[in-house]
Amino acid sequence: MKEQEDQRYLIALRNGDAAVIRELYVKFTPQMKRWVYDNSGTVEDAKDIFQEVLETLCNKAHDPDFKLQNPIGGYLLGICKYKWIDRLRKKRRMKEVRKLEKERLEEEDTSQIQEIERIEEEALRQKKLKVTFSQLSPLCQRLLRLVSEGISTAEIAKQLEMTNANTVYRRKNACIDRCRKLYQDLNS
Amino acid sequence: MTDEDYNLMERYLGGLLTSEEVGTFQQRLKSDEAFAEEYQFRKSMTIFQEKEKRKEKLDGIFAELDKEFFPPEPVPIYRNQFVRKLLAMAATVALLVFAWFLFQKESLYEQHVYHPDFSLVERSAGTDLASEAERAYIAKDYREAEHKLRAYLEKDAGNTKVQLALGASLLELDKTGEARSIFTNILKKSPGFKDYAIWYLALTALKEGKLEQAKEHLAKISPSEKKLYEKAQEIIRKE
Repeated sequence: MKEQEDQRYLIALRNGDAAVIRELYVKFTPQMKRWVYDNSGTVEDAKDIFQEVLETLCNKAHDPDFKLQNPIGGYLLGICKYKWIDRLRKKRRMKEVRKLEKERLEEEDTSQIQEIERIEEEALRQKKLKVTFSQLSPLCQRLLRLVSEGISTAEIAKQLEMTNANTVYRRKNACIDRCRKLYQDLNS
Repeated sequence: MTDEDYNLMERYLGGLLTSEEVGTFQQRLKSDEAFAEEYQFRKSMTIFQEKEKRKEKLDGIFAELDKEFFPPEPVPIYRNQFVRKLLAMAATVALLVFAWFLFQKESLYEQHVYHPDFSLVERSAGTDLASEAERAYIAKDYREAEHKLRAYLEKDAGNTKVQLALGASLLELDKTGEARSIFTNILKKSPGFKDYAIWYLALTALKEGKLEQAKEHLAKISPSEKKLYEKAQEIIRKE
């Protein structure tokens, strides 16, 4: 199965494996660049869009519930089109948007379109979390980073000069609550 | 939500549950909305933090590969010689384009789009979520409306008016694939909303530039739905 073989690209994006990521560039940038150029983009646009696409795929590379349903090329080009159309929409180039949306609907099946929309929803959540995380106190940011790095609570207590592991646990939950509140405020 | 729940989520995200526990966990995600919502938040947070850990490394890899695969476009030598002439031409073209935009016709969809009033609050006994969803929908903040309407449907999946409003919001956001499947479903399952579903299927076709397909739908709208019928006839008469 092609999609099973392509799972290695997601693993490479997750772990930062330069050689395999390079293969993605070799295989897919020519097609992607041609598509962006054909639709009134520049080399800079193609570069930005390709990088955004890879970052979006990185989200899914870290998602334990995500399994590739199609070869990775379909996702790359599908997300690229979605992002480019979105960019044109923001620039109010509506005639081009209508033309590209029509083509996209003719070329892609409903399930693929819906899957790409779900992938884009996670990308939006990640943008919001970036804002949210930056609004947390430095102590919360540091504590959550240490937890995420798998450092033991005893060691975290020592590094952050907290009384004991229980304090770390309570502070961690308080930080997550604060993060959730900021995130919800951003959504409301 | 209990500490045990949070612990369970962390263990699931860390891949530490047995296959049996995974099955129970996934089943709970389907049946317990608050649990699923909290899990989605924690999962996104974990994804964010995992990415942050390798961000510097990945940014470095991307920057190197970008240099190789997206070299800057060379500036043509002749460009400087003609730069003044080109600027003058560009200004003329810009003026023409501006004039063209002024007179550009709206698309068929933009000319004919009409969203009937669904009165979500009345139907759903004025819950906060319904009011918020309706406010966003009326204010044409369709992205927000989509988010709230989906949240509402998780509690009351059978509410056809909310389904219609969600479909309409998706249509405005150009998510025509999912919008069409919602309207088709309403057409099959909710005879009381048949004409509304047909109207929106026609609008979906118009959004995709398929006028003939839209007309086929519109011909089925019943004259008893006066407003929709009149609007349908206007479109059917189009060349």
